[in-house]
Amino acid sequence: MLITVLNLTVSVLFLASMYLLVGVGLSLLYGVSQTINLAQGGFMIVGAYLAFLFISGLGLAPLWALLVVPVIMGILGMGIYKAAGFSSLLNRNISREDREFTTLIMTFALSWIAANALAAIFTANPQTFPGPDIQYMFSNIIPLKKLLTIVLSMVSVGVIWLIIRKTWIGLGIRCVFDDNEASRIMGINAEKVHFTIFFIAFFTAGLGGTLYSYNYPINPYQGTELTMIAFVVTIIGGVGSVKGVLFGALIVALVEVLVTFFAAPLLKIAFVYFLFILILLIRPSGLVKNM
Amino acid sequence: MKNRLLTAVKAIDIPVWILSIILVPVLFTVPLYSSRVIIQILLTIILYVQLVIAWNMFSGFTGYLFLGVAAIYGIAAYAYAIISAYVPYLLAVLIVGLICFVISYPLGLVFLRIRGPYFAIASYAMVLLFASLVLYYEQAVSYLSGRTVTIIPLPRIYTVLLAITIITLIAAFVIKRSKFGYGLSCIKGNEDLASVIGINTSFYKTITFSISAFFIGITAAAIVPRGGYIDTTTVFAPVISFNVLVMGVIGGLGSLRGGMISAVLLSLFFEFFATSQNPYPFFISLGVLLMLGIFFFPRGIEGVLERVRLPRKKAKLKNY
Repeated sequence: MLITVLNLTVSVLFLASMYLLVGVGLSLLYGVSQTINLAQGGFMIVGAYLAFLFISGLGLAPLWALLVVPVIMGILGMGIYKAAGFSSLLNRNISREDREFTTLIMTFALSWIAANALAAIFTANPQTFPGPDIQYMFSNIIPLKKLLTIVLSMVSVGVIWLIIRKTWIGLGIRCVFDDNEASRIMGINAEKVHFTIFFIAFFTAGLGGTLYSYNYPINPYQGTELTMIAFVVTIIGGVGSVKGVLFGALIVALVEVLVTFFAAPLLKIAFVYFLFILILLIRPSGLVKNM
Repeated sequence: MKNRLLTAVKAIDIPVWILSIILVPVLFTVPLYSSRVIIQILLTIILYVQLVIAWNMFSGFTGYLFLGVAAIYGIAAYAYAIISAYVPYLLAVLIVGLICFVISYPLGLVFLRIRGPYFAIASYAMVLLFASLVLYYEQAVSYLSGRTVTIIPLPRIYTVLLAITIITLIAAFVIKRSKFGYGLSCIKGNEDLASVIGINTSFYKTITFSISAFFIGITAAAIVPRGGYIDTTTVFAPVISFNVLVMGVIGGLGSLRGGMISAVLLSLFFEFFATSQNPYPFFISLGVLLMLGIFFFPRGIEGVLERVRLPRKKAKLKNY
C-alpha cells in the first residue's frame, strides 16, 4: 500500500514536470508574445527526435544531448520567429483578435509541417533508444530517469521564474506582458523581448522533448496530445503565469494518474478534456492572475 | 416570399447560372461513360467541396474557427457502420445525419460559450477526445479493432454524394442570404453588439453548428461504403480536418465560391501527388501553402477575386 502510494506520487511528480516544460513555453508565448502556439507539443517531439538522432545516430552521450538539443531548439525558435513571419505579424497594425487568429492558423500549419517532416525522415513507426535498462534508486522505487526529469524540469523552470522576476530582461518581459504598445512607448525593445520569449519557449520544448524521449517511445504524431495538455495546464494556471503553470501541471498530472490507476488509460484524455472545458466555463482567466 | 426568392436568384451571376446548368447534368452522367479512375478523382473533389461548404457554413459565417471536422466525420462513420446493418443505404445516411445533428446540439450549447482561440483549441482536441472514447468503447465493450461495412458500387456513391453536395450548396447559399445569415455575420463582426441588438446569439451559433454537423455527417456516412472498412485511425484522421481548414482558409473564410475553387484545385493536387507511397512532401507543402496564404492573403481567393472585379478605388472604399 505504501509502495503504491509512493509510486503514484512519483508518477504524478514526473508527469507534472513533463507538462511543466511543455506548458511554460506555451504560456509565455501566449501571454507575452500573443502567439497561440498549437505547435508547442509538435516541437517538443521535434526535440525528442533530435535527441534520438544525436544519441543513436551520432553517438553523443545522453547527458550532453540534454544541453545541445535545447540550445539548437532555442535557436530554431528564434529563426522561426524571424523567418516564419511572427515578428512582422507582431508589428502589424491589426486587432488582437486578428493577430491571435492568424498566429493560431500559422502554428497549426507549423505543427502539421513538423509532424510530417518527422514522419518523412524517420518514418511514422515509434522509435526507442536501444539503451540499458532503467536504473533504480532507493530499492526499486524511483527510476533514475524519472528523478532526472523531475529535478531538471523543476530547476530549469525555477531559473526561468528567477529570470522573469529578478533581472532586467525579466522586467522587460513583465512590461510587455502587461501592455505591448505602452512598453514600446516607454523605450522597451519589444522585439528583443519577443526574441527572448521564443528562445525560452523552444528551449523548454527541446529540454522537455529530450527528457520525453528518454522515458517513452516517440512517434511523430504525439504532438497534438501534448499541445492539448499544455493548453489545459496553461488555462488552469492563467495565461503567462509561471507559478500558475506549475500549479496546473500538478493538477493535470494528478487527474491523469488517478484516472489511469482507477479507471482505464484510454479514458485519461476524456477526463483532461473535461477539466479543460470546466475551467474555461467557470474561470476562463485562470486561477493565478499575475506573472 | 416570392420577391425574396427572386432577389436570391438575381444575386447569382448569369455566367454562374449558365455554368451550373451545363455542369450539373454533365457531372450526373459521368458514371455512364467514364472510367473508374475518373470517378475516383471526381469523388474526392466532390467530397472536399462538400466538406468545405459545410465547414464554411459554421466557421466561415460565424467566425468561430472549428478545427475538429474529423471528430464529426469519425462519429458519423461509426454511426453508419452500426446502423447500416439494419437499414438501406440512403435511409442510413439520413439517419446518421440526424444523429450528428442531435449529438452536436448539446455539444454546441456547451462549447460555443467558449470564445475565440479557446474554441479553436477545444475543437482541435475534440478529435482526440472522440477517438479515444470510441477506441475505449470498442476495446472494453464490443471487442472490435475495426468495423466492416458492405461495399456499395462507386457510381451509386458518386451520384448520392453529388446530390448531397448540391443540396449543401443550396442550403449554404440560402442561409447566407437569409435574415438568419445576416444575424450570423453580425455575430462574426461583433458578438456582444449582436446580442445587444436582439440576436439570440447562443441559439444562432448552436443551430448553425448543428446544421453544419448534419451536412458533414451525411457526407461521411455516404463515403464510408467506398472502402468497406473503418477503424479509429482512418476516420478520426487529422488530415481531414487539416485539408478542410486549408481549403477553407485559402478560399477565404465565409466565401462559398472561394471555398469551392480552392477545394477543387487542392483536392486535384491531393489526388495526383498524395496517393503515392510517400505522401509526406505533399502534406508539408500544404502546410507551407497555408502559412503563406494566411500571411500574405488573409482573405484568400475571395479577396483576390473581389480585387479583380472591383476597380481599385472602389475596393479601397469597400475596405473602410
